[in-house]
Amino acid sequence: MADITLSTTAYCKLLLHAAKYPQRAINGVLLAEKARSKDSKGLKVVDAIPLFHLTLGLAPMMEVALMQIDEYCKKKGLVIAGYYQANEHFKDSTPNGIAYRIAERIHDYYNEACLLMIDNAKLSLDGGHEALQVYTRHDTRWKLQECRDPLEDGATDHIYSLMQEKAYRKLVDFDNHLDNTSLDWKNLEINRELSI
Amino acid sequence: MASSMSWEEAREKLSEFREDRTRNSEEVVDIWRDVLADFRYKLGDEQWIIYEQVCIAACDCHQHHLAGECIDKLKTQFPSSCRVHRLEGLLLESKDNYEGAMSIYHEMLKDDPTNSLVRKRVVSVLKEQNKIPEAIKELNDYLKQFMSDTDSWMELCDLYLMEQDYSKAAFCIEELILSNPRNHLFHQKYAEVKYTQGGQDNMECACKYFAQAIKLNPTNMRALFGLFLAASTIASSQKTNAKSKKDAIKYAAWAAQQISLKYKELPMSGSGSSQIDAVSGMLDTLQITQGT
Repeated sequence: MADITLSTTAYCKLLLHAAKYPQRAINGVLLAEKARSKDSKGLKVVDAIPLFHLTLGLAPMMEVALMQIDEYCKKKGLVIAGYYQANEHFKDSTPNGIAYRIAERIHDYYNEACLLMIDNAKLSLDGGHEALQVYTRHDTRWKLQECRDPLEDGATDHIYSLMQEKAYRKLVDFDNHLDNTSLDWKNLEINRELSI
Repeated sequence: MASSMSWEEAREKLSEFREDRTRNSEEVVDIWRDVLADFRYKLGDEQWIIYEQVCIAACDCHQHHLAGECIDKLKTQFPSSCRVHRLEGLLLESKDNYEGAMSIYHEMLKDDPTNSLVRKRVVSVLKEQNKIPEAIKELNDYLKQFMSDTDSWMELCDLYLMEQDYSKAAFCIEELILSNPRNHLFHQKYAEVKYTQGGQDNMECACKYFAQAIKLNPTNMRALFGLFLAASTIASSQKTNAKSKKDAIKYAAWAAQQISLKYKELPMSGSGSSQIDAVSGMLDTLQITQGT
């Protein structure tokens, strides 16, 4: 079973996306480094790209987003390694048909891809990894991984200050980019703040 | 920052939110708390609509105490108002008291079965309980009587999309297009649903509707990307005849050119140039596929 680690940047961007659209379902992809040393085990997610908050289940814009992110990944030595989703309903954190379909598509290109569902009810400033449910593929099915903290050390420290300064208002997802192409879905400024 | 606004600016901002019908509940609550609450005596008759707006926003943000205060003020001013009674139902919904909310709504519908806003709240309560098939049924019944309600057709479309029932979702958007043929967003969404359904006929339909969306609004990026993808798919399909293939390649090339132009207009700072790279890469990849 692959071990999965989520970097501070990925974790914070995920949560900021959920905080920006509390009333909507949201989704996005997770990026990992392509080159890994032989003795490194498991999947290390280094970034998250927030995608949509309008309709999640429609194909054309998802294809456009995945193609553009793929081009970006090629230049940065990254790879699309996972998919995250938070459902619209507060108490529903089970993956739906849309989540499975997109995760399968990502798995076709990356064997260790993971599917991450956000448990809305457990989102909190100090909840840490409890709001995250990680699914990995075994045979042909996606199974929930045992409860294990996938967060990098110090990942949760930033969340409080980000929420205080309402940094989620600055986060750009792919839907925002399609409404206004001058907005950058890579959120490089937020990445820079989080890596300090 | 809400606290740096004057009370007139705050009032303007809330009015803007009401006109645009956007859901900015957190901002509304902040604006009220930080600025307007202390100047309510200056608002005149506008205070009542602002109380209603703040009440709904407070329910959205789980600020039950604030919502309750607004309802009390409104009840004192309008003691037998249906509109205020509906807000009481909304507050119960916010507290997860669905039975209490439903009993208020059913009581209101007994007095006035044509109260469309209350009927829509019933649909919302079902949605809140994650009873999507029941919500769909209720909304369908509502639309049989109120068939020109654009918002409800859109909501029904979204509910069908949640259930991945694309053909019924498409039907809803057809109703919207019939009543609003000049709205580019409806044409674009219809095209997206058709594209998602897949297959030669649906793809050709998607192409047409993306094109119509672009005709109505040449800056609709989703429609431009959609036209590019749909035309590229048709061009590389074996079921397409030679003439249609030629046309499809032309449309895809035109869409690609429009997309590139839009991205080239971006300022060439860090993000601008990398956006162009990502898009060019995408356009090139698909054009290579067409040629094979």
